[in-house]
Amino acid sequence: MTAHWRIAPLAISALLSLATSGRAADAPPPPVRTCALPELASIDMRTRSDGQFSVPVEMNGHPFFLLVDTGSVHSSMTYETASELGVKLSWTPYGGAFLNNIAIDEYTTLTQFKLGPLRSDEKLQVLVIPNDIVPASTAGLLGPDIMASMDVEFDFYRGKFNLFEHNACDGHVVYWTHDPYAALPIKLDRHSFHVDVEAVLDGKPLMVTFDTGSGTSTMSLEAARELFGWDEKDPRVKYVGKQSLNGGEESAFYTFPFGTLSFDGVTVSNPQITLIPNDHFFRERNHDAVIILGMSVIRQLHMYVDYQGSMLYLTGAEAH
Amino acid sequence: MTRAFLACVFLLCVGNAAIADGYRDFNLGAAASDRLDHDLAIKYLSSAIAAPDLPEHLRAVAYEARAEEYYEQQKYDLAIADYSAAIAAKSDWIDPRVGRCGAYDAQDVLDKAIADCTAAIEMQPDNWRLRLYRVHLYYETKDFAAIVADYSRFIAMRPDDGGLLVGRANALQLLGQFDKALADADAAHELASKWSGPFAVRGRVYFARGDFPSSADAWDSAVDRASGDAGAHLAYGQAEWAMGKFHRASSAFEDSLDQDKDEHYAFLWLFISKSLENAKVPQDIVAHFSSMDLARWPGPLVQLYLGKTTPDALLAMKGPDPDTIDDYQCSVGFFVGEWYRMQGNAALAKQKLEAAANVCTAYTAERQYALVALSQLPQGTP
Repeated sequence: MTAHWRIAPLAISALLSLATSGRAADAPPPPVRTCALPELASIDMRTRSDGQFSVPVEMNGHPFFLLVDTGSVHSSMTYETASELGVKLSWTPYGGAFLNNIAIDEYTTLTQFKLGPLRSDEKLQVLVIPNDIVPASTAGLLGPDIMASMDVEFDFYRGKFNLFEHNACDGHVVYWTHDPYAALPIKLDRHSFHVDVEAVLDGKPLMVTFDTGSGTSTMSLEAARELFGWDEKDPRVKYVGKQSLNGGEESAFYTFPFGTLSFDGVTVSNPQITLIPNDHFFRERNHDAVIILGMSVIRQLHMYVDYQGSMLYLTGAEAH
Repeated sequence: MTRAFLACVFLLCVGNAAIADGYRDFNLGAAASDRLDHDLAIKYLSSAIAAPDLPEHLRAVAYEARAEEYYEQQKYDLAIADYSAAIAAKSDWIDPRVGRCGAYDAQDVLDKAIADCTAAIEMQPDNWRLRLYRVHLYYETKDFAAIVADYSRFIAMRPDDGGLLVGRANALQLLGQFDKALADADAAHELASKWSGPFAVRGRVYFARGDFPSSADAWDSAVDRASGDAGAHLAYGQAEWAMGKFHRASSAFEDSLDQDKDEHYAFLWLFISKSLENAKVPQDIVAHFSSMDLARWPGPLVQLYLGKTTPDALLAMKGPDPDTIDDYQCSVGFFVGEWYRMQGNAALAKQKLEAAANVCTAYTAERQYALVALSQLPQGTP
């Protein structure tokens, strides 16, 4: 499991300004849209066996795959990749930590970055993370610091990661279907660009973070007990076992038979949410979200993240 | 009915929109895999693979995912079949190549493992993790020249990494290229003078050369820099033993056991050196090893020295790994030979030690152990 999330921003400017270099020659024709939605790139997802996905990038002229991670703050590369590229590492006190308190305290600077057909020759600072955070064939994480300068569509069913210039559709960006869709205001933290939205879990309102970098959906056990008033010995909370999280300490895992998780009319029945002790969730919480919604649920959706408009649009994955 | 029910139980129900069987089962499989429920994951992934409506870009992924589940269950034949299907569906995808490499390795089909690993490296030429994994495979096949080649590439990419220089030095030693190995060790020492690694290389090289005083000096320096390293104490003791300084050797082996009380080889060597100085292994150490589970290698060697098995039974045992059969015979031959020497049977000791020297990999310290032990036998031993 590679659930992860950082809690503190890197105190360096790292937003990427991407220069369009035109559509890729093999890109599919753009779908019909109802308003101005200029497509910057349509990139084939490389779906992994655990449901997460990565996309091809170039860093300093070398090709790699980065896992797309809406739950991180800054993009990153592994120490192994940093070695391959021979880049210099610098210390930072602002790297934050991954789930299970895996601290990050080094970053490096890229002189070139390419995502699909989009290329930037401006300096880009990325964090350097332990190798075990990502699969061996993946060089790091593509974070919101890069994605948030665009609108991002996640079409898991068709395997497409589509990037657009910020839309001028006044809330009507769901071009792929005439079916009803959910439009959710993102409670945007300008330091993190996390996709935090309101949801209702078994009748209790709470905040959920959409985290494409996490396989499972996770919730703090203590937060769940407080929210639902569970007794410590509630028999419905079942101990599953222990497992290392993000290559760090082992954490105990629990399950609970949740009924529904709803987003503005979009409902997940019996969501599979793993409960872990708060010590392994985040020791120092500085945000409101109590569920990290991972790919096991997200893959059932077709998502459009309007970072600049602070909106998340959802339909079913196969809606057309 | 069952399928519709499952879709709503586990997954998202968006209005009344039907979810295609293949896509739904793929996601159920991925979710089950994430919960480490391998049987359930295989069930859903098999359904996904069989479903005609599975999006084509996910078909190879589903095969690869099921292969991973079979791998976890150590069903390597099934895993290899699925990795192969994933490769056939998506030939430029590295993950199933790496997976199949691991499955072949688990089956000890090393030539195919290396072929897959090499194909994966061609896709990601600068992927160190893959290259280091292939180095591990090359060690298993004793292809030391290939290891040197890979390390040379690493070193060209990162010339200031002493660890890489030591890695290459170790392989150069096993090729008998002692001067080059020492040059790499020297270069590594220049980069990290407080590190024990370069001294360990020197210790091994000098030992393999038969220059035991220099080996002892090098290992002494290694111990100075890594006093908690049980292996460094052990190797220092072996160099002292080779020079006939059995009391000093015994002290070093006890130091090794102080650092790691379960170090089987330190116990065996302590037994040998104590015998040669006409002393006994401290009773608490004997008691500790007597209470251990000695079924797994190299436990059976300890069993012999504790009188719990016989040389013939030990020699008749199959090695722990068919690919290291020579190393196994080398090790057994040496310790059985030394056991006969402790029993006062020089003739059988000589026979076993000569056999060991013949099968030990060239240029290894292990081969030197056998040659040194032979030289320590009384002159005129038939």
